[in-house]
Amino acid sequence: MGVCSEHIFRRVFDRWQIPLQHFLQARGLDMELAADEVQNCFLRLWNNCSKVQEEKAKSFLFTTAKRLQIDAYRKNQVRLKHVQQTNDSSVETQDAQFLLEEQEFKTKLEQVMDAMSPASKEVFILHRFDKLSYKEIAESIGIGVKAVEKRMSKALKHLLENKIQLPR
Amino acid sequence: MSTSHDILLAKWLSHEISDEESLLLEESYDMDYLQALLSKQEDYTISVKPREEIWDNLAQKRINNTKSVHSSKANWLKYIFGLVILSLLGFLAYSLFFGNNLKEVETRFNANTPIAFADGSKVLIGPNSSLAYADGDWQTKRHIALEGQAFFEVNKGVPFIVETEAGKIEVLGTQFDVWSIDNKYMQVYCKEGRVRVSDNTGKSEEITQDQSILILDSNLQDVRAESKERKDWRENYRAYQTMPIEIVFRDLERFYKINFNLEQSISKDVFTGILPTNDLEKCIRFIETSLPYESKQSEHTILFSRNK
Repeated sequence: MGVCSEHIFRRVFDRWQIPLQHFLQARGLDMELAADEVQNCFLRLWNNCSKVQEEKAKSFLFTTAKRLQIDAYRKNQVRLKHVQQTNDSSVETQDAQFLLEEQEFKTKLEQVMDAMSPASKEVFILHRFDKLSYKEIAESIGIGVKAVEKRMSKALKHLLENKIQLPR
Repeated sequence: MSTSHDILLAKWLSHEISDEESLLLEESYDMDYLQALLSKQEDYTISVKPREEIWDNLAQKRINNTKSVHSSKANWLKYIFGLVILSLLGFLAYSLFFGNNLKEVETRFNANTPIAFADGSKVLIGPNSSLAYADGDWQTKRHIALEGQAFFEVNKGVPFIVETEAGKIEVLGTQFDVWSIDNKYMQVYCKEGRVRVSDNTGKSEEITQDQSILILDSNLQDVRAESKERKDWRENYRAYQTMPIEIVFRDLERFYKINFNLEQSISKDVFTGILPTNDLEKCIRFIETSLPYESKQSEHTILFSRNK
């Protein structure tokens, strides 16, 4: 029955808005632009809400995101720069040396992820940061599970070949 | 069965490879390093725009789009079904005012809620506001009770009436914005078409496109012209024009989860300017730079007093 009802629409929104933002950032949009395009994706979903089943919503959203991203990307291209530590609660208890290492690691991680091929990067981010399974990624971006595994392996190989200093 | 070489690493990560394959990987790669790197990476996230910010912006765009989407009757039924489900969650229905099927919608701090009615008319309810209507009577009588802020887009049809404690607005197919605080204060801005506004003393005035009118201390004031570039609460800004400072703070309390207290000596001042409704710090800074005030903030209140 589609996603026209408010609570279903909200459920779809809550589930997919972050992975979509990550997906668009992986494809080179900055945070502001990614948020705008995510809004547009959901607006298109809303405009087609009677035609899209809830379980098909994610592939609709990612397909739309891809299309919108291609237009936006031509105008704006930035490097991934929003990697952040999840919890800062431990900060007070850590010494300066430690914080410095963390900071360096963060920058290096951004750099090494940024140097991945775009296809690998988006799969890597969806799997590692959004915890989507290979199958979910395949359904979302409209490729086969085998292709997802290939891209993921490439991403991991890239990490192995471009080692960075790990903090203590 | 052996896994083809180019997906071995992905399979390793999802624990789907055999021991021999695992050994094979360890011969060619530093798998301990990869394991350590990935477990470290789990401490990190990629920051994104806050969820509610996107949702609220989206809510606004959705209401502008509703007309084209829900034109067929079947779609409308679905939309109404959605409203019914929402009503189970948040609506309080009782029949004091209207007799039958009274619906009431309340909004929280900094949350906007779009509603569409069966005739295609729409309303976006502002934060900390409540709105009640009888949907059983909608065919013959479009009557809404409002406390707080809402933006209306009204389709042609039977008279559309919005009542607040301070006054009444009668509509003839239009878009307009209402902002009511108590039984003494209300402001109506007409974006399109024509509306008639009356206060409780029976005085009334008709306003048209890009005009606004104020009820202040229970009395209808003169009609004002508004600029087309008017900053709007729907864009997280609020514009005030020679507004009693007391009213300004009562209004800001609707957007920020905090009480504003005023020292007696400044309560009769007026304010003209634009204030953000989604950034408290910035808002206070703006007030302090445009008026000779200083503020003291505690957990739930901010006290404003005149600069010494």
